[in-house]
Amino acid sequence: MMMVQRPALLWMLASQSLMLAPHGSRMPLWMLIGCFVIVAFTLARIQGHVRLPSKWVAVASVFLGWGLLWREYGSPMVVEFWVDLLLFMYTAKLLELVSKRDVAQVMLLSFFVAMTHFLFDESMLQTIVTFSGLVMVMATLIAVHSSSTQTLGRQPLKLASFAFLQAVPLLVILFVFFPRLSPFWTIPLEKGTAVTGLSDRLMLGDIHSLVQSDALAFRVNFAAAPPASRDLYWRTLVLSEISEGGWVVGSPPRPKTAIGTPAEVIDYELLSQPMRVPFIPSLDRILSVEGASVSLDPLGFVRSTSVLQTVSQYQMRSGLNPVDGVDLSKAERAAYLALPKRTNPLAQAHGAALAENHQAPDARIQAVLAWYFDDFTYTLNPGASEGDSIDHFLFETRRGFCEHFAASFTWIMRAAGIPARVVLGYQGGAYNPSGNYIEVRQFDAHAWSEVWVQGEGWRRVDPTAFVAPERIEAGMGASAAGMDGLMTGKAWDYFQMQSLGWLFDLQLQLQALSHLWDRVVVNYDQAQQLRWLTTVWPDLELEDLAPLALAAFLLGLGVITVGFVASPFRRRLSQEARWYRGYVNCLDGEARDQISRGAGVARCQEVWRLTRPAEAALACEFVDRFELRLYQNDQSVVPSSISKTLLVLRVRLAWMRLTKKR
Amino acid sequence: MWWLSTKWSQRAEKFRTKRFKSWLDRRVPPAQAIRLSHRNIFIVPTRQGFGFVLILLLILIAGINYQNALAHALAFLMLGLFLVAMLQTHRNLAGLVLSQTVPVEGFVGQKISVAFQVQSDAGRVHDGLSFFWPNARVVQGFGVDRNGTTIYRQTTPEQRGWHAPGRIRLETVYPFGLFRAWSWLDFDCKILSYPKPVPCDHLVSQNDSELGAGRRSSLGTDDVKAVRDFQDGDDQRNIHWRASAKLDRLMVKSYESQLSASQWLRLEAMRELPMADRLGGLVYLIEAASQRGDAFGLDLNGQQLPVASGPGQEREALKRLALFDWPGL
Repeated sequence: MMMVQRPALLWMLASQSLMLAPHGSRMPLWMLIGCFVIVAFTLARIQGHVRLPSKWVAVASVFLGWGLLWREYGSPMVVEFWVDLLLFMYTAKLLELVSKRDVAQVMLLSFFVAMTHFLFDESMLQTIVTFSGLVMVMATLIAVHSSSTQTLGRQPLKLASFAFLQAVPLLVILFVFFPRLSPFWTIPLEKGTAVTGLSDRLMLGDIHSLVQSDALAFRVNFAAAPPASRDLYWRTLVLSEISEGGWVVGSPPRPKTAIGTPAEVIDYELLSQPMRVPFIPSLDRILSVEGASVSLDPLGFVRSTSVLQTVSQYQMRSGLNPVDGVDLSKAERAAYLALPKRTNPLAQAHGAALAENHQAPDARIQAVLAWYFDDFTYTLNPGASEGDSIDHFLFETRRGFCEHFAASFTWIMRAAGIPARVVLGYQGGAYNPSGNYIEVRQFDAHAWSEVWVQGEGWRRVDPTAFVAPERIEAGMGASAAGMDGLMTGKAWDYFQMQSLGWLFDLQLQLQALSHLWDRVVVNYDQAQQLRWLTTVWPDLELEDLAPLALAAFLLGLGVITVGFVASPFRRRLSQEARWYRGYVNCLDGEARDQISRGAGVARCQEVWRLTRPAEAALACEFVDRFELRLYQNDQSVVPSSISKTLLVLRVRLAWMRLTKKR
Repeated sequence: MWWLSTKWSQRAEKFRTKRFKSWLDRRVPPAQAIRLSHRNIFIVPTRQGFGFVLILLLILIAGINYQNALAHALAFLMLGLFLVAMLQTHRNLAGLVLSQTVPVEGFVGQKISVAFQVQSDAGRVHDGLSFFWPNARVVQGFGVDRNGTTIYRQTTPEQRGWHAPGRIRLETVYPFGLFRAWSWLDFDCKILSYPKPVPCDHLVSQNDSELGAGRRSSLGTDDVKAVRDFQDGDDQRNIHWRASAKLDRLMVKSYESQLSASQWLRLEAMRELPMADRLGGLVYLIEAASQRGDAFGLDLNGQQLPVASGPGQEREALKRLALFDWPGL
């Protein structure tokens, strides 16, 4: 037996489904089905087809759900475990739902569920979906507490939207001014879902799997015009050591001195999506970075203290084409020349031969690049590597991808006695004219080499550029289009999309909007808060923020309250009363005294006629019409004509007073 | 939930001590019609309201710990909604005008229905109101639209005399159930309860000469000694048609002179009844006489009500009995 009106229950089911929906694609399938069954069952219950199950059904289903979730995640240290637990209880409550209080509790829990949406997705679309869900939740509460027994129609939704519109100004005020605090404690819970992105080592085949993803990596706004796509090398990791056949970051010796003065400095703002590794991409040679918990590695890339879980924003300054005018230390030299013995012997031999044939380091580099240009093929489908992977690639398949070229090139360089290292990162990016930013996606992942040239420092050498220049010149899309069918997955759909003109434009606009959202809303942290507020109040200190927030909040609250409280007092006057009041306001001098003493309008007119005949004639017209309408109920006198004569009278009086004063 | 048990309401009841009542009397003085405004509306969050704030704080902490801007935004939105809920709940009561329409009378031990008119002076629709009377069942859920509503309250007086109906509690949690707004309203209206009728036909038969309110048989037209002008409340059956026709105005027969002795209902005549029932006996006789349309007078230990008839007389007599002040009665 339900003690709640049916419309309220239907509202409840609708809003609950809406709150569950964003988790639908993420939660385990059995749970999705379970939630669906419970909601459908409750719907049948509301319609009177089935009855409330016994208490044991509810208890059993809760235990079953707990058990299955435990089996699914195996550990309570994952966020998803707790979120799914919450969602399960949120749904299972329907099995024992009887009273108004139960409905109210479920609806309050909805707000907590709304919070979990934002743990997984902070996009604008998600926010719109979640907030619409909450409007439904509030509408449910209205329907529950209404004493009306008929169907309420859309009335609750209207009232709830109205309440939301009133709450939003307070939301905005608090969002802007509320001081952003640092975390109270570190959360031991990790997100279990895999993030696509670079890993911290380079095994042949790693990047290849990455280029099939069209997931967003990061977006960059440049202070000035963005550099050309071919110059955009986003260094993320510097891999200096070889371990178990792959390139790893390792622990190379500290460079002797800092980077020399760069020829050109460029400022930009980088908004990174969650990453797999605690490294943030940066352009060329990073000079400074501002942002939460990041530091500059001496090797010239940006480390983050932890793996990024959310979208994060950084202000960066980079030097283009810097010159490192110093020598490598002995330790450095040894580290960047080290090669594991007895692996890839052919490549090692090739390097040694190169060193014998060419004296100048430049000549050795050019010789290898020329060899690549002549004999190698750039392909997205290089096939599996076997045994000594570098030898296999260099002397058997000769078909490879950027990672093959970078890894083998660095190997040969070291074998030829030139200090070299592999750099992992992204290359290029798509310029979005709607938002004036560069967008880098996972398929832009790239690997290249840096070699030490005496007197010049670390020089970037991208062997891929020699094999497949179009990859560097025009980006991944161009090279992929040339290799029809080789690129699979989402990235391919993304490039197919480009051929649909208007749709692509629309997509660009939406992406620009989403970027704006990420920059302005999602990334609104303490630094940005200060940056924004100091543009208005240049002297603002961090400590002033709390009182400022309070003051702004109270101001907002005051405005809303006055709007509420004042309205019952501001009783609406009838049209007749307003006419009369307007007339009285026109009076002055003796006529006003008369009317305040309680004399009628007729007496007042008389006085007026004596003192100021010209104006009285005008007033007379109004009074005549007013009386005809009010006392003789003459329907031929239109209300608007009365208002008009009153207006004419008032304008005329105002004009007379003005001219008289002069 | 254990902490939400009824104990709290009992404690709250105790808390409303005399002092609080006198403060309330000053704050919300008795009146004929009461307009609800910020002066007489009280508002506090409900349990759900406190739960809402708790969830708000949890979300804010989660937002800070995860450095999640949108969780911050959600918490702020909830705070905004909470305050808007307060204002809207207040607004749902504010502007209501309550008035008691009809004065109420009734007998002790008999159910009396008191009607209150509830109207919105702002012309708004108010929903989800409920109406409490001290120690009585809740009048659940009613709404007030632009035309107003009448709400009824049944009460059973236990003693004769004036009864103040006590404060009425009008409350609402509408629209969101996050706040409870209420007002204790004290109407300047009173309920008059008459003593409960006690059948005493045996007394009439025994002391017919003294007590017997005249019977129709003894009131033949021939006995009419006088006629007087018709007054409101006179029984139509007593109209003296012949005299009326002659004088061209309505005249009624007056039996006063002849039947005065037997028409007087006297308290002394009730001596045989127990103290508590004496007034009730008189009520019974008054009711019986009024039903027959007889004229009667009332003599309460010397306080006399002259002989007359009709509903006016009946009410006046009952009122005197209700308010008769005598030691032991």
